[in-house]
Amino acid sequence: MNMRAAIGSAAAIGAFVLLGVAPGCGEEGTGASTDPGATSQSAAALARTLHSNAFSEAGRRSLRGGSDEPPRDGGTMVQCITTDFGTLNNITRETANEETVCRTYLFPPLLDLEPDTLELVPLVAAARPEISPDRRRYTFTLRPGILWQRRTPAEPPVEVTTEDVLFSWRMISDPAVVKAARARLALGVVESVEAIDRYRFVVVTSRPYFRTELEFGFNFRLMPAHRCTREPAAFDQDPLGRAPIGYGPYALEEWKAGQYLAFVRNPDWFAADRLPYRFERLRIHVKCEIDQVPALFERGELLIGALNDCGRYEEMKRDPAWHQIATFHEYYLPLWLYVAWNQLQPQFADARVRRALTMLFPRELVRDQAYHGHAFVISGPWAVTAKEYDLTVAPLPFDPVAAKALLDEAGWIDGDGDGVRDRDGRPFRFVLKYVKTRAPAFTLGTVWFQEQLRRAGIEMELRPMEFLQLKDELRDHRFDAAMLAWGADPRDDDVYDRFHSEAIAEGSNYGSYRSEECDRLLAEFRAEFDEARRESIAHAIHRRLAEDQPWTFLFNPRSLVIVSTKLRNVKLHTLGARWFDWWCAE
Amino acid sequence: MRVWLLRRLALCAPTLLGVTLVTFALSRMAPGGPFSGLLDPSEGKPLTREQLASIERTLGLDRSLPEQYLRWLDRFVRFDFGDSLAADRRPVRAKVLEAFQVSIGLQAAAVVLMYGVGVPLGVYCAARAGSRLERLLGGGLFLLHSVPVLLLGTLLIALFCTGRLASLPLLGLSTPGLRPANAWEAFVDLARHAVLPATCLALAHVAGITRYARAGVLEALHQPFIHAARARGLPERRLLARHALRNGILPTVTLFGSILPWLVGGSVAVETLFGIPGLGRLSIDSILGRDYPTVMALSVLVGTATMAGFLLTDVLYVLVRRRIELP
Repeated sequence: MNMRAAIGSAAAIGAFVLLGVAPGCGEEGTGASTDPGATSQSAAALARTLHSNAFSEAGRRSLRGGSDEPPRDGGTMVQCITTDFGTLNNITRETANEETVCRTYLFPPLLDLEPDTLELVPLVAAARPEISPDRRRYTFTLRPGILWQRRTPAEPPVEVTTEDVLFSWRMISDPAVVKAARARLALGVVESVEAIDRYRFVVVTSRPYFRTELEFGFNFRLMPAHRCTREPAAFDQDPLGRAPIGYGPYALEEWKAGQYLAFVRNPDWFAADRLPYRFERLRIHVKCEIDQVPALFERGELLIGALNDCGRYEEMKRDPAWHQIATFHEYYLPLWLYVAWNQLQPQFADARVRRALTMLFPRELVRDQAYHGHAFVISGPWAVTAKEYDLTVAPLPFDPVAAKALLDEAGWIDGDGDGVRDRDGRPFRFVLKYVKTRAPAFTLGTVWFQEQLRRAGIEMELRPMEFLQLKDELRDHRFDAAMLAWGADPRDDDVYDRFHSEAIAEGSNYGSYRSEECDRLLAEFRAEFDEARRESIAHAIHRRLAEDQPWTFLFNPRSLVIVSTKLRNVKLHTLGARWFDWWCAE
Repeated sequence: MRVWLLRRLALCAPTLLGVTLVTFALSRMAPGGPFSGLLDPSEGKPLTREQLASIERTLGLDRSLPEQYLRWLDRFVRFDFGDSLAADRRPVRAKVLEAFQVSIGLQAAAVVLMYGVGVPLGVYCAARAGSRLERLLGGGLFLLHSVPVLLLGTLLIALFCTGRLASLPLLGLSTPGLRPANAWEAFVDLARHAVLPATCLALAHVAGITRYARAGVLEALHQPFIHAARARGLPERRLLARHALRNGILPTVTLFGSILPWLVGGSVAVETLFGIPGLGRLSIDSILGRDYPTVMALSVLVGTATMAGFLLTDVLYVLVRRRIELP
């Protein structure tokens, strides 16, 4: 799993992807950003509110302070997720939820993200790494005194050292560890890891890359060398995957297969000063239906939950009885939705046609009616809270008249009078493939889009399909158009792999988009180490893509979260609702 | 009967082989593979074709399909189903057994409930055939039969898990953190968790059982020996329980054979709704995740149960009505 999904999951809630993606609720303010005439000044003001994630009046009012009461340790934090856990082996884990549990509760990373500023801060590392002048060698120092959890108090304490780092690197880099493929991918630029002494080690990379510190610091996965099997072929079946030993704030207490995981606070937790984690226990129910969240919450079986039904969320917010038991919070997820156009198909090769199609997607209507205003209409390939996102670039408006003119200009006219536009005898018909989900953009958005296209003389067939099938078809470019979601990084998101022409054959450039200017900008972006200059390159990329529309950028939804009124010190961060310093009043 | 039984059993082997072959072919024909997840467009750097091929080589998924099937078959005859391709990489046998224990208990409770309610109701309906109450009951049961399980479960949850009547747990099969002092406490906890899902499963089928029981008993009630017994002054209740039911229960008993695969296969809807880690949920997860070894093991299990169900139906048929002649 990569950084992108990791932070996406961390941002979702209390460092958790609770019950899938909640198509969050944008407030009135979000509409302003979509105003084509937005000035740079208003964009800057909007940026401030977006970046602080404090744009939700309702959310702000509902925050419950705890300053007048002393923090209380104890109680059980209860959460639920829609998926199940396969393994908690930190190296072979695959899903976002496995990652969140491993990264947050069992095996914290070398470097953490400060939840408000998103700056890298040392956690398992004693400090941020020393970087060589050629930016290829990163020297990390481990914080001394971090202990691996013990099965029994009688066991001698074992410290986290470079032996664990080297062992973990050996397992990650060995192709025989089949299930470590994701871990290998995330550290693709790393060539070797060498120990200097018990606490210091050097990471050598194949080329300078601005994300190396972030990727290694945040993505490197540690496992206990003294407890794991040393045989790579047997590593992904190591029993430690179901009975993990970590060094984080919690230790696994009970794994009730298919039902829940129970954790108890680790008495040896080394970072309690910054991340106190006041709950004595943590319980995560698995395989919950998202529709059950309100019921579970009402019964007191959940202390925090996310909803994906905006209408239901709004109803609950209006109900005074719900305010007795819950506070309501909304924030933008680092996630956005888009339609990819396959430019190998003749009808999508022309940028004018792609622009027309974007102008026929009733995004504002979907935002207001289907998302109940709880989504941000986007114009580029970054999360709306990311600094790379250029808020001065207004999304193309919904404008059927202008869209029809563009289609006429591109030569797509209804020559034979059958109601469908055609060019060179080829009618404008295509198939939109997407994974069946209950997100409003997929359920209502696709149908409304289809209707607008029909009125404009374009026939679109909707084809919902299975997740794995769509992945295969995207990889092989066997599609006309595909609607998908992208879990983005809240910072330093590198979109090279999505839009560079090199990424057509073996990357995520599924639509085969080619632009010399964009290729140049993307290459400049990843070679630039100065943050301000990189931001300005990102904005140039954003403008280029908004012009070319290789993808129709749709929405950045918000997460809708309910938190029990029993909880205190509840606050939102840029990364969302992280509960490391919350506590329970009862 | 012994020869007939042996012949039937002998036929099971090629049938099961056919089931595994079809399942194998279908699962491999489905688009995507167990590692397509690593090509996730929403999660950054996807795997290259070369990397994907290397993983498939390691797991033997690059071999020809006949070779893969024969290798699977070779292990299967030794009752070795291999390791799951899901993230846990656990032995398939352990995974299936774990889920089987959960499902079979729940489904068995549902079967007891559906027969326990359905048969007496059917007998009652037969005895009161044509009455207003019987028609009302019939209509009610028809309505119940028409309600999708998912909706039924949601209604039960709304009634008994939330609001004023909230008295039963909503998720799982045990109370988290509860350390039962004795077996009785553990049983009570389990029963509290199982009552709603089992009821949900049972209610969905109780109408069918009732109709079968009603039809069987009604037919029996019109037989001459019943008229004779009635003429001899046998009390109506005894007539129903001893004679009509015994002779009319046959269709209901044979129905059990067709329920067996369902009993073993688990219920995706109910298990999902009530958060129960049974075979239904495992099936859907392994199919969607292209976990081929688990899919194969489940097909063997359900295929065996289906054949056993048919066999059981025939055997029960013979045992209940010995006068049926064997082919």
